[in-house]
Amino acid sequence: MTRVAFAVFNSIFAARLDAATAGEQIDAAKARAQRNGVPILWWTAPGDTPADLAQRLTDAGFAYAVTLPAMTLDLSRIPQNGAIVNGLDDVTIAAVDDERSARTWCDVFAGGFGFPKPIGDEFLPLTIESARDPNAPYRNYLLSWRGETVATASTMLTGDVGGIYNVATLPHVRRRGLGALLTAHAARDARSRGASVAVLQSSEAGLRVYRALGFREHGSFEQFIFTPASTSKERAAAP
Amino acid sequence: MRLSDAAAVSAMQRNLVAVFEALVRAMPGADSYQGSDSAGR
Repeated sequence: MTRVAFAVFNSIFAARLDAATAGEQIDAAKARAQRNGVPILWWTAPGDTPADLAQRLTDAGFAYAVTLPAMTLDLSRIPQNGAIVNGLDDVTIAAVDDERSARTWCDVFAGGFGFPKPIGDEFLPLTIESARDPNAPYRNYLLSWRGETVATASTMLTGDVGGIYNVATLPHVRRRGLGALLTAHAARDARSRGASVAVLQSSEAGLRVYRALGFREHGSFEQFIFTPASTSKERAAAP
Repeated sequence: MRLSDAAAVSAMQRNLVAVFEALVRAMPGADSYQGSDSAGR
């Protein structure tokens, strides 16, 4: 848990709680959030326990925020760019590899998700750290179109799994296929580093794009937010 | 590689945890990374 008053920075995943003590552990998480004065984002998924965790969270004062389809792509089947979108000229995609591009990444990421700039800047330490290590499992990408940097994405490698995150496109250049191009690039880059499958949690806006790239659904994650009384309402955000 | 639904979700959760481990550990303002106990896993 951090002291950042933005729920995604205080996330809980993969709960395997005993039914008899789940209530106590949920209350403990709430108490910790209260002490730090920050909201919690609790992600639930099929397989979490107890099976009625979502109801227990709601009963404990967590508010349902959003459902995120869980999607995977067999990386031996990723389409070529020409099959994704045609007619886009002057597109360049590059990995973030220095502090300057890391700062640009944070700004475009925040703009793409509609976050305040200070929230984007919370990603700067990791973005700079990973930029300096070409072998880091976490990597960020920037897409530029006609000379303007307009979209971001990230990958995280764990074994042969490449997680794709932070796919964001600035509002004024959406619906042109730029996000699809960048997602495909990130997936190929993950494959080149040893991944055989890409995984992501889709926003509602991204679902059509990811389906078109060949991603298939495996159930979904749900997010629940607990906001201590002393903090303002926070929004959910996929990383 | 095709995954079952359960295997896919499990792989995603491990990957998500890796992202947040990296994010929180890199943040100078983070007071702690709680690891597996924070999620009750």
